[in-house]
Amino acid sequence: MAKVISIHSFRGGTGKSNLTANLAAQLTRRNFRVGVIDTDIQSPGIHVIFALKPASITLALNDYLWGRCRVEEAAYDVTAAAVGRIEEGQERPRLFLIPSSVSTGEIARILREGYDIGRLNDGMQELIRALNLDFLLIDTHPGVNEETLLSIAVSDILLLVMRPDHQDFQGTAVTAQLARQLDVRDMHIVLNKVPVEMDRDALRSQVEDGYRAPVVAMLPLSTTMAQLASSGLFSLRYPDHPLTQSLYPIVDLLVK
Amino acid sequence: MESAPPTAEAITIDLLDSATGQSQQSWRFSGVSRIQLGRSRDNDVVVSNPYVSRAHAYLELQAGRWTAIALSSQLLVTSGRKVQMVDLIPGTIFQLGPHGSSLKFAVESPDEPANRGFDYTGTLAFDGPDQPELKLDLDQLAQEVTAITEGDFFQALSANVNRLRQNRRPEP
Repeated sequence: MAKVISIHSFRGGTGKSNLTANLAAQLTRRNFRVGVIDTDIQSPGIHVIFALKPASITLALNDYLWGRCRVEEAAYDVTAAAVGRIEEGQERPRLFLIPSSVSTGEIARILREGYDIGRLNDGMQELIRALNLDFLLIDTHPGVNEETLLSIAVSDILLLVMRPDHQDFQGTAVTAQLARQLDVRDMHIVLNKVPVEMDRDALRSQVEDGYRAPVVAMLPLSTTMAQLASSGLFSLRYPDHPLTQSLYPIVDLLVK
Repeated sequence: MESAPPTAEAITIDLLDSATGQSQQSWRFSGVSRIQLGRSRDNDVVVSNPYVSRAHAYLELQAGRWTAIALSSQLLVTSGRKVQMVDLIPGTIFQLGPHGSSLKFAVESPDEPANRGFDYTGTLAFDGPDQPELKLDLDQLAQEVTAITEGDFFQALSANVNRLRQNRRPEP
């Protein structure tokens, strides 16, 4: 049975899309069928990390939401980005990306007219069935809106990504409480961009006490990562980097 | 005479690896009172990081104390705050801008502990290891959560959440 994993952050710039992409790649490398859906319709971006060129995105999540195509027609096989080329008929591993449209017209239309949120939920279930997924990762829009609430509600595992600063700490607490009221049982905190000089144990206990949820990873602030600037999959390019090593406990958690 | 003239002490500046905090490179200075740091090659400490400005900051010795002063509009970051100036004591870590490299300041002393000549208690800039104050405003939290949970969408979602989850299971 497929697992749905939502990756959410209260504010932008937490590294959520990079985390989502690298987790997806690492799951793929463990021989699963993985789907990543970019529900950040207002500011899509995860396709860049998978090197999917905007020109090759002929159909996007937007087209499905407007009823122009079936959802699996907006899925792109990006397995090669995670594991290199594999044989055409090979069932596993597979990695699919369902991007949101980068067309400003499409983004404006969503903002202007909205869309049927129920259709997004149907689409996610249909993806799991049509693509026979083991994992569906949802890259959500920052903040709290209808699609993030839906994503949180339907997820088996919720990862809340935050930086160790006051604004993120306060904002993420809102999401954590909403998730608890929606009866999401498997909720974990990922602390990202943790400066090296910070007291990690003190930080962990502050966050765990504040949210009553476990911290699954504390990812170091990395200038190497900043220099890569979303132009590729960090964990594949730097497999021995401490940042990559810190991702493995999250992957283990998702697979468990 | 409470301490030797500060210029007699050599200082070191360590470039820290962003992930591990280990020193990647070290510079040692003695008998100087101004040290410039930045990306271009004419600095005393050259840091090749695109997020560091060409002339990012300088360290200055005044009245026996070292201070780091930003030249770049990216400023300096220490204890989680962007600042124009950082008073340096042995062990102070500061970052060249929010995305730049982290540096550690130290004083070299052959026969005494590194903190010789410095009075910790009077150094306002030093507030322990860099730790942001993470405190929840519980009233604000309750207000924000209630504003969302009382909305029609949240109510409908909450009422249907079990059905939504069951729908996800593959059909037999």
